[in-house]
Amino acid sequence: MTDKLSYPDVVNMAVPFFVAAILIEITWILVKGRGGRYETRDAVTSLVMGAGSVASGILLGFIAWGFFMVLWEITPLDLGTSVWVVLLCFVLDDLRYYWVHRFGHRIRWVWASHVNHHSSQHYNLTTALRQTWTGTFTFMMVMRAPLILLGFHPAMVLFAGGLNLIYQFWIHTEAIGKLPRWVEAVMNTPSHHRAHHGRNPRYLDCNYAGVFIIWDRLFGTFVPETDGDKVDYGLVHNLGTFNPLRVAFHEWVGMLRDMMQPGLTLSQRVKYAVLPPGYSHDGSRRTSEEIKADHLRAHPEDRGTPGFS
Amino acid sequence: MPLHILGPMVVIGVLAIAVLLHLLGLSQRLRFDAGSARQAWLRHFPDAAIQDVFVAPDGHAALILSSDGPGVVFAMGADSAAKFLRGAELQPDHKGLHFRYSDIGTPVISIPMPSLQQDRWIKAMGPL
Repeated sequence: MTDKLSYPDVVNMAVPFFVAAILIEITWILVKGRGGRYETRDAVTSLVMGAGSVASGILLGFIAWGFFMVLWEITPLDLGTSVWVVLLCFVLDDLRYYWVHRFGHRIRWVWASHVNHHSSQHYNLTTALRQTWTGTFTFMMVMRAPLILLGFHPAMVLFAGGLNLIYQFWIHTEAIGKLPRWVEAVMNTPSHHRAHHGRNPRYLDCNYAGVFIIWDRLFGTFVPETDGDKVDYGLVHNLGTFNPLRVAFHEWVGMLRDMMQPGLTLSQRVKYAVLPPGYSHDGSRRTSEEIKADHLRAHPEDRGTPGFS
Repeated sequence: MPLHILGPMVVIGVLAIAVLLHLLGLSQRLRFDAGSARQAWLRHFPDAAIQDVFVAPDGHAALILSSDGPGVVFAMGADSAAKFLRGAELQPDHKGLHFRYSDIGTPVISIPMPSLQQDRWIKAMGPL
């Protein structure tokens, strides 16, 4: 069994590329007068969130790594390290990413970690770096367990995850329109991911893919970016702060306060953690389904169009 | 990548991008007039029927009186955010009005304005 296997830390290695690409995007927007927007405090918040996410990985990464190595000790399977195995690992890890990401939008406990990535009202390459500091506390590392038990080495699984994250960097831009049809059919693209970042009712809870958009097509969550419904980026209820600490922890605090309100049943407390964002025991808030339903009451002509089927 | 290289690279990269964006004039805060304040509010609360709009003297916020109660729309950099005022604690002082929330995502909305204008807003919004 391959115990000591190492791959390059591709995310950290990509940092100079990230900085250079951001500078190129800013230059492009200035020269062309289109292709996105930048604002100083928003961009700085995103960049600090990105740095904090790397720091969080360094500080807390040992928890997931320890869990993975226990699984690696348990499993009798070892698929080896051939290029084909790495490619298969990358594809299956992307499927894993799809479901983690979907849970990240549909389970408030996981949303509490992921929400910060959607908290910018801008959509540019710095938004890609607005990453979570609290991913460890979602326990979504269990979603990687099947891969490791199937015989993919933990280092390979993390390598595949790193490549997935790097792929997703370049799709956070308005500078690229739609790509050739076959690319849009198979791959996650700037257009598909712009829709994912939309707060418009049409775009809520769609396009969870990391690299391959085929997962959304397969599982019924694909919504194309629609010319007649320009994407409005951000959260349904946008934040009133640029403070990275508040951005990182606001939803955790909000969820825990909801769970600890006096007078709730145990079931209601648990529902605040496991049901989708927008659940409330008294019906005072709206889930994405309720927002879409309200939209259709006001705009019945949208019924049956993408995002409202 | 070793931390002693990664750390300074990240710090210098963040500072360089921040300075560049500021020098390019991209730190301007959004300004409202009555029409844009109304539009910004409807972006956040499309179902609310707006009854009246009071734009703050500096143009960076506006009081919105709506069918669902009073609220404030305010600049978040080049963009906007909006909150209803129910549940807020109003703290006026010589600098302006401060609405404090028990929401760490929007802990306080501070709107600079002279006392005369404060009185007008407080009267318009009624008891919170």
